[in-house]
Order: sequence, then C-alpha cells, then structure tokens
Amino acid sequence: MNNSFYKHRKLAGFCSFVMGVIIFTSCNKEIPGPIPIPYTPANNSTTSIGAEISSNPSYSIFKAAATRVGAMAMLSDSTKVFTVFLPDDNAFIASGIPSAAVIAQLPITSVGGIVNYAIIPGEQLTSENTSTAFPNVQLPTAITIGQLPGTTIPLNLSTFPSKRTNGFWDNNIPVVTPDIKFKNGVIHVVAGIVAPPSQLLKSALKANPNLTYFNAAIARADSGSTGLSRFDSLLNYAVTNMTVLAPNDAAFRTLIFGLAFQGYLDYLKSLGAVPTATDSANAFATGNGAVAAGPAFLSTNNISTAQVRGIIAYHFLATPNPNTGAYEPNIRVFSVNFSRTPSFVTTLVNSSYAPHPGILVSPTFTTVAPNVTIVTSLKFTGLGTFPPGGAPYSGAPATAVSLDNHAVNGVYYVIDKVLLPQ
Amino acid sequence: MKPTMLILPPNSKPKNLAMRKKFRFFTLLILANIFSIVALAQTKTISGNVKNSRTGDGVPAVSVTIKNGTAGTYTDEKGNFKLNSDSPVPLTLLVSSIGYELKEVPVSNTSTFIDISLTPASTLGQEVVVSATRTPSRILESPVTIERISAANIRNTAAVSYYDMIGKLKGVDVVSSSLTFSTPSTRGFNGSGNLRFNQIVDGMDNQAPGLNFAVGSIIGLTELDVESVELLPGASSALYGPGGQNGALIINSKDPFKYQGLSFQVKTGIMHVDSRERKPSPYYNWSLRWAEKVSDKFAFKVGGELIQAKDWIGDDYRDYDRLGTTGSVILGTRSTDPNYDGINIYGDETTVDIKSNVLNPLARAAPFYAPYVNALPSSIPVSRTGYLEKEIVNPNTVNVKLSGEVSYKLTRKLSLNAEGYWGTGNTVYTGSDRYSLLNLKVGQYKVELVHTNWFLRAYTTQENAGDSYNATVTARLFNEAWKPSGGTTGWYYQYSLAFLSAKLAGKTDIEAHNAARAVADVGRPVAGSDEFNRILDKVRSIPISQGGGLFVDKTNLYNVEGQYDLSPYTSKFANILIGGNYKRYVLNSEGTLFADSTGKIGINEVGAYIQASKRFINNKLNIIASARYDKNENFDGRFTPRVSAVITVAEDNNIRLTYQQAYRFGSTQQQYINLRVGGGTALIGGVQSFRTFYKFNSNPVYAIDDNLFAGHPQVANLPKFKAETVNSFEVGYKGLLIQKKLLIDLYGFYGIYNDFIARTLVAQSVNGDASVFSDPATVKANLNNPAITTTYSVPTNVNSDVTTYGFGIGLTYSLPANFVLGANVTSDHLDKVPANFIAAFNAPKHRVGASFSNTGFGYQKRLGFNFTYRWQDDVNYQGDFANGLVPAYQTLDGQVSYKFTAQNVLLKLGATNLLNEYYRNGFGNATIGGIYYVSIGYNIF
Repeated sequence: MNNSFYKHRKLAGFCSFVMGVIIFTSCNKEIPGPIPIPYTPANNSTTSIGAEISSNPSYSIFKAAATRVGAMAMLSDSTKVFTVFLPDDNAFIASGIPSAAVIAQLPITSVGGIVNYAIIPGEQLTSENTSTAFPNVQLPTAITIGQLPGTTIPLNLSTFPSKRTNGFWDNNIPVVTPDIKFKNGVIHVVAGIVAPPSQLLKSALKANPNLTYFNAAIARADSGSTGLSRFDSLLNYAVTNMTVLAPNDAAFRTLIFGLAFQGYLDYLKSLGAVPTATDSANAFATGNGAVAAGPAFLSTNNISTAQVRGIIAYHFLATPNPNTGAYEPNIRVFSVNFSRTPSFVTTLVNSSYAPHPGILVSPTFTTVAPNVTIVTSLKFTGLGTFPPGGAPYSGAPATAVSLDNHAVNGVYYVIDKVLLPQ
Repeated sequence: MKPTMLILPPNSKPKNLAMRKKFRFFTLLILANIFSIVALAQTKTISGNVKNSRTGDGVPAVSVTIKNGTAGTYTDEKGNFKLNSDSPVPLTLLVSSIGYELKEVPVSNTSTFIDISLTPASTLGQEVVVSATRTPSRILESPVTIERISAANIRNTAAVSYYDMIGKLKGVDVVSSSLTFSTPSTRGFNGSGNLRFNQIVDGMDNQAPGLNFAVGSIIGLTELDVESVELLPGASSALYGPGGQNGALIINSKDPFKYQGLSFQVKTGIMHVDSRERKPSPYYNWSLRWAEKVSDKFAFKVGGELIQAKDWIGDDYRDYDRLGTTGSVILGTRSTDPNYDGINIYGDETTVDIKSNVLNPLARAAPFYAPYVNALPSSIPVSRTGYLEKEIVNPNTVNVKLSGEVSYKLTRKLSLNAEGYWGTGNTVYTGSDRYSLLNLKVGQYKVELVHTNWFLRAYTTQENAGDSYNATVTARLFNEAWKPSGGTTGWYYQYSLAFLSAKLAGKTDIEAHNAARAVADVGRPVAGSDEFNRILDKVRSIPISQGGGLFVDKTNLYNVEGQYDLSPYTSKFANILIGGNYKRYVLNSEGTLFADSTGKIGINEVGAYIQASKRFINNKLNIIASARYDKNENFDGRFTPRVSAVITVAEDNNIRLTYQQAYRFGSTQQQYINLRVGGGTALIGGVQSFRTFYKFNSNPVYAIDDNLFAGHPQVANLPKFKAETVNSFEVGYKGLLIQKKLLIDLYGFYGIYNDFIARTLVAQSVNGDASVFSDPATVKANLNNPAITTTYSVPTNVNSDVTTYGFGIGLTYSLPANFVLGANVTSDHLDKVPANFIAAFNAPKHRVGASFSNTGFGYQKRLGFNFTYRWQDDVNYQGDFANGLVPAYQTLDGQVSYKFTAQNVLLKLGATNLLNEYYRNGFGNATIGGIYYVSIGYNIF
C-alpha cells in the first residue's frame, strides 16, 4: 500500500509543484486604499509671494515695511493664498516715502496699515476675474478692526478693486503691472500706496474746514429723525459703503444768497409789485444778510427741514437694495469707477421719488504714465424735472475740487456747487 | 427530507423500480396477512461489525439491510450493528456505504457474530443526490447541474466551517460580510443577503423572514451534524418555490439512527497574524454532537457549536461619492476632501452645503463680505467627521448554535420527527448599510411525518434582531447626540464661521476646511472613551423609529408543506410526485424596518407542484417534467414549468438538457420596507399602498437620471410591482472516463430575466415644488438636502430583458493511492442590462478552482491533506451599500491531518487563506485574511 504511494509520489509532487507555481507567481494585488486629492499651488510657480518680495530689489521698501510688521512669514506660507496690491519702490516714492529708511521712521501702525491694506487674504483675484460691474468689488484686507457681532469672524477693513476695459485699480490707485503669479497667490503692482482709511465719514466730513455748511445742513436735515434714517447716524455707521458729494462752504453760500435773493423777489411778486432798483438792492442785502448768518442760516425757518433733507439726499449716491428694491446709500464709488461716458447715477432722492434720473457724472480720464490712468476732472450735474414728472432741466455742473477722500465707510468728493434735485 | 431512501444501494436505480414494486407487493401482503405473519414470525437478532479492509478501522453509519426484506439498520460509531429480523435464514445482508464497494454477505446462522470487511472504492460519480428531483438519484444521472459536499469532504476540508466550503464549489461566488456571515450564489446576482438563492436546511427555508438573508452561516446545522450539502446552480423554483432563480442550497443533517454516538471537535486558531487590521487574536470553534439510538424505533440527537473570534473589518477608507443608493469611488481623504465619505467610515454620510446654508445667509447679514463669500465655490458640501467601522461595530464575533431532534418510527416506513435549531450571535451584515447584528436570535422548529412515499411537515422560523443596529445610522445619530448639526451652536455653524475666519487669515480652501473641522470637532469623543461608549450605547438602544439606530425585528414565518410520491401507483405510466405548501409571513419590526408601526403585517403565500418522470429507449432517455404554481397575496399567481431530459450516451456518461422557469416574488423587504438609509434615501416597499401614502400621484416623483441633472426632470414611470421571472436553458454533460478515474462535468446556460426586480431612485420635492429640479446647477445640492427633496429607492420591474449566460467545466481525476486532483473553470456573463438600472450581477467573468487532496495515505492510511485554490476575476460590484470594483484575488486553503485510529481522533493542522493575502469579495465588505488553526476531532464521521 505504501509502495503505491511512493510509486506515485512523483506525480503527486508534480501536481503540488504546478499548483505552487500558479499560486506564488500570482500574488493578490494590494488592496486599494484612499488616495488624497492632490492640491497644486495656486499657480505654476515654485516661488512664494514672500520670497519674491524678499528677492526682487524693486520691492525693497515694501520688503522693509513687511519685515518691520512681521508679515513676511505669512506671505511666504504656501498653505495660504493672497492677492497683493503691491506698491513697488516707485509707488512708495510717488506716495512720498522715498526709501526703506523712511519706513523705519514711520509709526508702526502706519506701516502695518500700508502692508496689510495691500493684502487680500484667502483669495487669488486676478485682473481676469475681477468684476467690471459698477462700481467695484468689495474684498477684505488683512487689517482686522474688530469682530462681526455675535460671531467669531474677524471684521476686516475692505478694499475695492475694479476693472474696466482700459484699466485695473485698487480703490482709486491704478495697477501698473497686473497678474504676477506665484505659488501662493498673485501680485498686482500699483502706482502708489493704496492707503487704508482711518476715519469714519462723519469724522472726516466734520474735520474738513470747507464743509461747515454741509455739516450744518446734515444737522438740519436730521432734525426730527431717529436712528439710521439720520444722515449723521448713517455717516457714523462703520459697515456700509457710501459715496457723498459734499458741497463746500462757497457752494452753500452761493445757494443761500440765491435762495434769499430769489425769496425776496418772489415775496414782492406775490404782493403784485413790479421790482424797482431799490428792491433789487434790498434783495442783494437780503442775500448778503443770509450769507452773513453763516451755516446757522440752515437752521432758520427761511428754509424748511424737508428742503434741506431733499438737498442732502441728492448728495448721497444710492442704488436699489437687491432684496427690498429700496434705494439705499450702499455704493462706494471711486472716481475711476465712474463711466467714461457721462452717465447718471441715482441718489437717495430716488428712495422717495424712484423715477428721478439722478446725477449726471462726467469724468475725464487721463493716462498720466503707461498703465496709469486716473480721473483728472470730475463734474456732477444736478438734473431734475420741473414740475416733478415734467420737462427735465439741468443746472450748471458742479466740479469736484477734492476727489476720492476715502473713509472707513465710504468715499466723499468736495464739489463747488450744491446740486438741486428739482 | 430525511435520507430514508439512501439505504438503497447507490447504483441500483433500475433495481429501485423493481424493488418498489416488490415493496408494494409486500405491503399488501403484510396488510392482508399481518396477524398470521405476526404469529409465524420469529424475531432474530443478527450482530456484527463492519471494518475498512485497508485500515482495519470500524466503519460507522454503514447501511446493513436484508436483501429482499424490509429490515435495516446502521453501524454505530465503532462499526457494530444489531439487526432485528424476522426473515428466514439463510438470508443475505446488503452492506453499503458511500466510498465502499457494495457487499453482499450471506448469513446462515443468526447467532454467529459476523465480521464484514468493506473495500474502499472510488466515490467518483457514485454519490446519490436528492435535491435535483426531490427523489434519490445518482449524481451522474441528475437532470440539472448539481454539486455535492459529503460528510467525508467536510472531514477532509481545510475550511474553518463547512459553510465556507460552498464557496469553493464550481461556479459559486461568496460574498463575505464578515467572518461568520457569508452568502453564496451561482450564476450571478450575488450580494450580502442574496434574494435569488434558496437555502433549505432539513426541509426548512432558512432565510430570515424579515431580514431577508439566509442565516445558514450563523444559524443552522453544526458542522458535525451535516450529512450532505447539495447545490443546484441556476433556476430551481419549479421544485423549491419562489426565490430559487439562481440556485438552491439543500443541506441535510445526519439521521440519529444512522450516525450515532458522541462526537466533538475543537478548533483553535489565530487570525490577524500580521496586525493589519487588529492585533493577532484567537479563533475558537468548538462543536459537539451526541446521537443515540435508544431503540429500533426511537433515536435522538443534540448538538451545539460555539465560534468566537475578533471579526474581520471593513476597512475600505476610500472616498465615496454617494447619491442615494448609488455612487462611486472618488479621490479623497479626510484631510483632502471636506465632503469625504469613507466607505467603511460611518457618520460622515451627513453632508451639508455650508455655502447655501450658512455662508450665504451670513453674507446677507454682513453684505460687505458678500463679494468675498460669493467668490468661494458656488456649493461647498461638507461632511461631518465619521468613525471607523472598527470603532462603531462590535468587534466580537460570537456564534452559538444549538440543535436537537427526536425521531420516532411509527412503522418501518413512517417516522415522526421533531427538530429544532436555535442560534444566537454577533456578526456583521451588509445590506443597505453595514449592520452590527448583535445578539441576533433565530430559531427554526419543525415537526414532520416522513413516510417512504410522502411527508407532511410544518415549521416556523422565529427571528429576533436582538440588539442589532445600523452602523451608518447609529454613527450619524451619534454625531447629532454629541453636537447637533444645525442651529447657531451647531457643528456646521461653528465649522462655517471657523472656515471663513481661516479664509480671512489667508488659508487656502482646503487648509481652511481642515482648520474649521478642527474647531468644530473640539471635544469630539474619542473612540473607546467612556463618553463615546455612553453615547454609542444610548443611540444604538433607541429604535430607528424613535430616532435611534436599533432595528427591532421579530418577524416570523410559518410554513406547512407536504409531498406524495405517487410512483407506486403510477409507475406503469410514469413516476409522479405531487406537493404543496402554505406560507405565512408575519412582519413585526415595530416600524423600524417595515411600514408596520401600526401593527404586524401578514403575507400569505400558497404553492403546489407536480413532477412526472418516465424512462424511454431502454432507460437511456429519462424525461422529467415539473410544474409549480404559487400565489402571493401581493402578486399575481405564477406558474412555472421545468422540463429536462437525461440521455445516457454510454454507461456512466449522461447528457442533460433542461429548460426551466423560475421566479421570485419581491422579498418581504421589497414589499414592505420603510427605512431611511445612510445617505438619507428612503428605501420603500413595492406594494401600492406606499405610493398612495407618499402621494406619488399628487406630488410626482422624478427619475434620477441624466435628464434630471440636465434640468429636464422626467416623471418616473412606476408600474405595478410584479414577480420576476427567469427562463433558463441549460445543457450539460457528466461522465466517467479513463477507467472511471476521470469525472468530467460540463455545463452551459442561458438565462433571460423578465420583469427583473431592481431598485430605482426617484426624487420628490418635499413641498410639491417641481422647480427644485429645474436648475442643473442646484439639482445635486437639492437632492442631498432633505429639507427640499426626498429621494426614494423604489423596487420596480425592469421592462427590458436582462440576459445572462455562462459555462463551466470541472475535472476530477482519481490518482492512484487515493490522491485526487480537481480543477474547474467557470464563467458567468451579464449580457444585456438596460441603462440606469442597478442589476447587481456581481459575478466575476472567470473563476478557476483547483484542488489536490488525499483522505488517507502513508502509514496505515492515517495521513490526509487537502489543498484548495481559487482565483476569480475582478468584479464591478453593485450593492445597496456601495458600488465599485472588487479586484481579482486568489485564495489558497490547506490542511494536513493525522488520524489516531485507536483513539478515533483526527488531528488537523490547517489554514484558510494560507498566504494571508487580504482580499474583499464584496464591495464595502470586510477584508479577509488568513486563519491558521489546529483541530482535534473525536469520532468524526
């Protein structure tokens, strides 16, 4: 019996061998496991923004500033992504900071403001994906000024890049060289420092010595109002965007003189009298008297609160709230954001009279250097219908004598005429 | 069916007919002359012993009958027998046992102790099977393809459980949910809890009536009590009723009259040897059987088995893009995909679009951040952090089986049997999700009258899901219990704020996501900590219907059936068999699984069958025709035929041809399930009342297909739910060649499925607003938002045909000295399937099997071994839980054994997955490694 086993063990051995060969030559494949999603850098580059700033000599002043405030590590971090509106040395010089040595002299908060206001964290905004819609796009910078109430989200100061056919700006500062891409984001070299705002509109307007009438007019317009329906409260509300056309004192004086002069003549007319030369002299005297009363005139009964409110409302640009349709002072328009061809922008007057055409804005764009296009002249024409709904008429245009005064919650222009809505 | 007929010599089919006639004659004679016979009879006892001629060992369970008489008995565990006979001497004893040559022993003196020596013979093709025709026939003459595992095969297997041997049979696929939970199928459509494959244990359908999976691998026969396992690949409804479209598995236990004495087996092993999944841990499998023939009329048996181990783990941590019950693997890990949904990670199925739900509202409240938020992706789906399967699912596999039977012979031909199986344990099952089956209890109890020609049987299946819980639902609720997803203190709000803060600090999106997750997950209970266990225990003890993960299921099945073999009266015309059954399901899940929150649901089913067979042309052609009719109260009645022919082309060489139809009614779940699964999809039943309840008529449901994603929603067409049918054509050949040393088994089949039951996904607007489907940009987000849409998975019939075909070849060669070499190649193909339907074919295109074994060689034939190799192609696996590619794999099992003859002890050293090459055979299922064990068995027959 055993013999038969031994006799056939060769066969058995052969069978075992064949089976063994089959098995050992064909191992099971490794069981498939999870594969991470590969995340490539924001751009096809091996250099970080920080490294570029560090090594490129034309960024030496910004490098000094960023180094001083400890921002270089952040800008070199490849787990992050940034858009930097980077002032190169020429931009610093153009803005009055001639060298890195000056940076060391500046208060550190100012340096921090310059550096961090140039940075949009967490997003790569290229010129290509910047909206061309009026007026601009609001994006947070790296300057944190508080916390969103009731949340842990930081409240960061905003910046307002914009794009048009022939230009790309951050706020009102032109971008000279856009879209230099690095592994952790993109740099846009700007023509000057994009300065962070430091005041609210209320304080900024109050502090301007040429706007005493405007401030008095706001006080009059607000009488009897409460809360955010007060212009004063609005101007003091941090988290909004406003564009305010602030007529200077001369403009108001002209208006007041005209109102008083015309008022005297209208009074005579109402009596049925034909004005004499004396009457004209009296009208002049009345006008001069009203002007001599100073801004206090705006709190007298010579003019109604409703009239003042209407005038002020016409100096706040407004657009419809997309949710409610109500006109609200919700846009921050820098001079470069206005259309090249004269166009109307609506104002808060539209909140009480929606069909109002608004104000005709006529900017003059000038290219002062290659890729540096700015607005060199800006005119606002008040336009109304008289009587309301009737034939349109326009007064003489107001010229902006001071442009792009940037505050935390908006931008204001000083203009040389008071615009009248109707 | 009790193998009463097996006492007939296996190769005596023609004689069988003759004998039946004689039996009938004798019956009449006995009835007519009973008193005179009693008066004349003189009972004698013949004693003897049967030995193996080669080894000299006593052979147990050998049939000893009197030629031309009715008396018969079996040898006991030592080979001894005592046969009471009233036949006059001289007489002839017929001594037979599978694996030995039939022996006729003349007896002239009943008082002499008779020593009988049986010569071992090749068993190739000699086995007798019952399931193919419900009557005993030689396996070579079976009219359909059939595979058989005998007690001898089990004795020599390397598998740790006899149930695992099924997976090594030709053409069989197994899906292993876990160590002890495996589901076999043939010819495709496999999955955990296969619904197209009947499993019948001692005549009882062992599908858990509510859970819908066959419990054979965890509850049922203990290994020592299995006499045979017969597998019918392909359609089998014509004899076994609804469900057997892709096969039937018929497992029979050992008759206590035949297999007597005490047996036990202790297997102790080790698994997880390479610490891939967990630390090395022991595997225990202890089983016991004790059968006693108290008298010629009364015998009983009891048995038990205990399995204990640390389970295999589902550890597929690939990222899965889930949509309802479909989806696919995608790139991603927890730290690279904020919406990561690991396949075997649970709790991370909860997903919310933080853009639309938190960030956009935040941007509306703080408009100066609106452009920044708008610049973020339009949809930011974020999943909650999940837990690994091994953290959520009970790691301890325990399986306790208890069984017992009493058998009383009322007459020589009629027995009254009562039998019960009860089992409990912990295991893991994959259905629509992964389930930790904890303290699951299933009992099957039957009483039956078995006559030579007929039986009458009543049984019940009593199911209790115990403390079982759905891993996905439990983990998701765990997360909610720890920190709710919603609200301004909720996880997603915290996450979103932290995400935005991190963005504002400059982080890239993915870095901001990871930072946000770290913030929202602060204090998240660590797996295994006291807090973790406290929350987990709480969540999984609350029923699903009350917002927990526990599913309560106490569904029962009651069945009465009978069969009569009319052949003794009809054999001149044909052999005719008739039978019928009545089935009643009582669904009881207390609203956790079925739509039975208001009370139990009953489902009645009746069926009847008839089979006729006749031999022609000198017995060279055997035609067998069967037909069956079934009616389920929720479905129209079904009639199914089977016609087969066996042509004997030469001795021991037969060609078989079969046409058969099979069908299934929707399972109890397909009729009445009402369950929200992991991804939030509502799995609902197919009966009409669901469509009324969910107002499909007034608030239409839309097909989730390409049209929907393109913004052109199409109202889903859901016709009345019907039974599924398959028409199967099969041709095969089985024969012995080369001096009966080579057994060849060939088959080919073609199946056409009509009204194929599949699930289809439809979506409905919660508020009846169809516009939520009209914008292609938001459709997917809306589908995943339960506040906007509900997705339903509805059982439906596929209008077009689904066709399958396949073939197989098996060769078994009997080498000298008891060596046996086997090889097989099988192939299954899904030919045609309509677009967008999940067929879940789940069969590899090719499989290869090989085995090399010897049941006795070397010193006194005491040595044995068995090596089994299996390779299968990759499978594009589809299941309710997850879909994806299961790579090709191979396994090698092996054992060597030594028999201590004097002590009747078998020592085995074995291993399954000997090379410890981990594999998965179902997508999302456990990853299986090697088990290495030592087994000591006493009196293993």
